[in-house]
Parts: sequence; C-alpha cells; structure tokens
Amino acid sequence: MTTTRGTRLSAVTILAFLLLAALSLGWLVAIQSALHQGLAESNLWAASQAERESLLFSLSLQSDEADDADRDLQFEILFSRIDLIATNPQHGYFVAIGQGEAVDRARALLQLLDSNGPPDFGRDSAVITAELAEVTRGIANATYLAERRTRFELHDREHWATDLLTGSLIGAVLAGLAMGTLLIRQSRGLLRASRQLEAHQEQLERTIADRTEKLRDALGYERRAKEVYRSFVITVAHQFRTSLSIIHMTAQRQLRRPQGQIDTDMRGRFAKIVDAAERLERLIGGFLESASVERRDLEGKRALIDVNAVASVAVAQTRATQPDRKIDCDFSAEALLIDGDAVLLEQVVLIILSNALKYSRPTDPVQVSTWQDGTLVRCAITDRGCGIPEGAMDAIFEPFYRAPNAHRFPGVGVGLSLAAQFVELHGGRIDVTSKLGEGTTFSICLQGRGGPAG
Amino acid sequence: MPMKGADTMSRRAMIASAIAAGSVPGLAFSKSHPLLTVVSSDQARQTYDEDALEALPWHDVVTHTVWTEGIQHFRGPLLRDILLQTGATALDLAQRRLTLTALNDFVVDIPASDAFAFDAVLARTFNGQPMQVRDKGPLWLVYPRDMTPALQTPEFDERWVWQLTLIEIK
Repeated sequence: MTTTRGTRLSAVTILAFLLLAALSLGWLVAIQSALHQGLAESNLWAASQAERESLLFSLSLQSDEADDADRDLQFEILFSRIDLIATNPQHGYFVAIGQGEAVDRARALLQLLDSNGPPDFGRDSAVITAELAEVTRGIANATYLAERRTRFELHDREHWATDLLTGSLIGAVLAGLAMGTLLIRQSRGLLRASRQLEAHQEQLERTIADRTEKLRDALGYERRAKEVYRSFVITVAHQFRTSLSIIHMTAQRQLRRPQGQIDTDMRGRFAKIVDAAERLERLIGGFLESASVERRDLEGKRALIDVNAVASVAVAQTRATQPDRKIDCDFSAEALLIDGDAVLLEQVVLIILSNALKYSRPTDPVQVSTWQDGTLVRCAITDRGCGIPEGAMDAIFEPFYRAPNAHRFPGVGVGLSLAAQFVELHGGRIDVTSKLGEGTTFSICLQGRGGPAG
Repeated sequence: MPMKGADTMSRRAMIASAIAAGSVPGLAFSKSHPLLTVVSSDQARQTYDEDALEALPWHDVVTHTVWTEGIQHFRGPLLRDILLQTGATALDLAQRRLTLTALNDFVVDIPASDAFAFDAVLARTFNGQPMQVRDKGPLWLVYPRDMTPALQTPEFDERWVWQLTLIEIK
C-alpha cells in the first residue's frame, strides 16, 4: 500500500532528522562546555601575568626606592609566573600554539637571572629582564591571538551546529506534518472504503432477501405443481378404472348368462376380457396405491402459449373420443397469449369439457368460447345439463367431492379439484355459474401476458 | 583582570612590614615573618607566622589541579579553622564573603561557606615541601577537587588562590 509506505518513509525521515538534531545538540553542548572551560583563557591570563611580573621586576631593578628584599620578592613572584607557563599542562598548550621555543627561552633567561642573584642581581640583569619582558609579551600576544582564533572557531562551530539543529528540527516538523497529512488522508480513505463496503453489504443483503423470496415462491410453485400432477395421474387412473369397471362388469354379465344363450367361443372371449380387465384393475390398483404414497417428480413448464390453441386441442381430443356429441366453439379471433403450461391447461379444458358432456343429455350441445377480458383471458365451457345445487357450489372443487345429483354418473370427484389446482398454479381461477336443470358455465380465468404477475 | 583594591593591603606595605619584622634576605620569609593576615568583619587583624600556622591542626588534600600534571599532595591548616580563630561563629560566617588577596595583587571573592562545605585547606606544603613564593607559596587555597565533582568547574578552579597573604572577612 503506498500510503503505508509513505507513512513509513515519513517516520524514517523524522527519525533521521531527530537523530541529526540530537547529534547537533551534542556538538553544541560540547562547544558550550569548551567555551565554558576557558582553558585558553586561563593560559592567556598566565601569559599576561608573566609579562606583567617581568615588567614589574624590570621596574624594581631600575627603581632607587626598591631595596633588595623588594627586588627579591618581586623576583620570586616572577619566578612563579615563568615557572607556571613553563610546566605542564600550560607548557603543552604554548608548544601547541607555536610558543614552545619562546617559553623555553623565557625559562632560560629566568635561570640566568636566578644564577646572577638574588639578592645582588648582576649588572646585565636589566638587559636580561628586558628581553624576558619582550619574550613574555610575545607569548601573551600569541596566546591572545590563538585564544581569539579558538573562540572564533568555536563560535563558527556553534553557529553551524545551531543551524543544523534548527534545520533538523524544521525538517522533523515538516516530515511530521507530511506524515500527519498522509495519516489523515489514509484514515479518510479507510472511512470511505468502509462506507462503500457497508452500502455494498446492504445491497447484497437486499439482493439475497429478494432472491430468497423468489426462490421460496418458485419452491412453492414447484411443490404445488408436483401435487397437481400427482392428483392428475391419480385422476386419470380413477377415470381409467371407472371405464375398466364397466368393461369388466359387462364381460362378467355376459359370462353369467345361462348356457346356450352364448356360444362357447364367445364365452371364451368374454372370459379373456374378464381376465384382462381384472389384470388391468390390479395393475391400476397397485399403481394408485403407489401413487398415493410416492410423489412423482412432476413439474409445470411455463411458456408463452395461446389459450385458443389450448382450447382447440382439448376440443379436438374430446371430439375424437365422443364423435356423436355436439361441441360449439366460439374462439377469440386474436391470439390470447398467457404464460403457462399448455399440457396442464389442456387437461383443465378436457376435464371441464368432459364433465359438461357427462352431466348433460347426449343431444344437448356444449359451447366452448374464449375471449380477452381486460388484462384477463377467459375460456368458458357452457352446458345445458342438470346444473349444480346451490349448496354444493362451494365444495365442487374439493377432492373426491361429488354433488348430490352427480352420483348417477360415473366418476370419483377428482377432476374439478385437479382442474382448480392447475388453474391456481397459473395464478388464475375458475368462476362457476349454474342453475339447476338449466345448465352450468365454468369460466377459466387466466392472467394475460403483460398483465400483473400472478 | 583583577586590579588592586583600594582597601586591600598592598604588597609593598606587606613587604615593609616584613622588613620591619626583620626578615632575613635570601629566604622568602623567616620563621617569625607573618605569612598570613586575617582581617575580621570588625576590622580586627590577626597575623600568622610559620609557628602560628604549625600550631593549628593540619589536613591533607590529595588531588589533581588544573595547573599541574598528576596527583598532588597538599598539606596545611583548614580554612575554617583560621576563620574560626577570629572568634566568628560558623553561623555568622555562613552569610559572609571572603576577599582573598595574593602577593601579586590578584584578588578573588569567595563565599565563606566554602570553608565549611568543602574542607578547603590553606596548603603550606606541596608534595611534602614547604612552598616558597616561586612555587606558589607561602599559602595556596586548595579544595579536595577529586573527591567532590561539584568542585570540578571553572568557577571553583578560579578560587584556588596561590601566594595568598591576606584574608578579609566581609
């Protein structure tokens, strides 16, 4: 991450500057200490004192007032002064500033004087003392200049160290500011990123909730579809068994007829029919038993379909099985598009159509009509049959329910419940209007394509 | 550069008194020659010759100095013993200052409390030898510098007056 690298760089820079500051502070302290020690200064004092005492001794030699004791004391003091600059550590300093020879010369002159006197200093003492004064003045002068040089040097170094200290502190502050700015920017970036992350998370949660909802819907739809198919299969099996029972019964009746009324050949054939019918009944019985236990893996398939086509197929199938019945069709001229499963809806029309034929007299026609009703698509099947009693209206869609006036007709009461489930699966409904003895209209009502989702 | 104070005893006067006392030429000072004069705050004078100094208990100071190389051995009476000889008490002296004058008119002002705080000694001998004027005698005010780090500063180094002849309590 560049920000981290930037921060690290700033930290290193600050550290470097602080180190430099500490270093220059150390130098400064050392310089201050050197200035404070004033070693050169005390050497300057010693040198000038030597010069002073040389002059005083010279004066005492020339003075008439001064006596031997006076001169003697003055010489002793002079001696101590020359001795001071001629012994270490002072001597070392004077050698270092190039005055070693001068100091040695002063000592030699002093020894010369010492050997001449006291108390009676020789005649050439004045000359020697004059030279001594000259030499010590030279030493004092040189010491003064050297001391000044040292002082300037120390001052220069002090300035340099101070500048360095100031510079490094300013540098450290600037680097600190830079690091601070970087950190602020970094934390802002982090904040922004976390906000974005939060928003993203919320969006994600919404999406998940959405998907979950849709999934739940789809799952419900699928479960219902499976249930419907299962019921459908059972219904078909029941219908099949009903017809089979008739065949079985008829064949058996023929077999029971007295000997002679039916020839042996026919009896054998009816016996075969009875056998076959019984085998089939067992088969269907077994199948129904297993179907009620197992849940067959069936599902509805949605596609764009035309209700006119669905109704046509159902009518055609019905006509094929019952060619002597009259079915009038009144279909919409335009395609009635819906999202749905054509096979299921065909079954719905088939079930209702077969009911209409079953519950009406063979001579009465049944009418099938389709039309667009606003956003809805309708398919109505109208018969002129016996009608449904008022009290049975609510129950006719319940499984295995049969209206009181329906018992004389074959059936098990699963057809309508299945049809209702299929239509419900499509988000639609089946409206029923009926009048006893006059007829019934079943109107399949489905959501047209483009209308609100069912 | 320290100048000769108006009220300090001049070297010339000291020499005159030395002559009056009958000092012997050739030696720096005779046994009876006053080596040190102490002027107390009430202007009373006390003088110390060799014998008077020897009569006081002497102490050793073994230390480095800034003017010499190696460890040096000094010996002499304590400064505070000299001060207490004036009759002043330690309490009184704690508030006072001392003006020390050397033979060459060098003058230094120090707090009298130094005498009590640091065992400062008026050294008479240097490495076992009595100090002559030529080797910074007769007296050198020395501090136990090596033993006390507080004394190892230029400020204290300045107080080491040699060729000391006069102490004035102020």
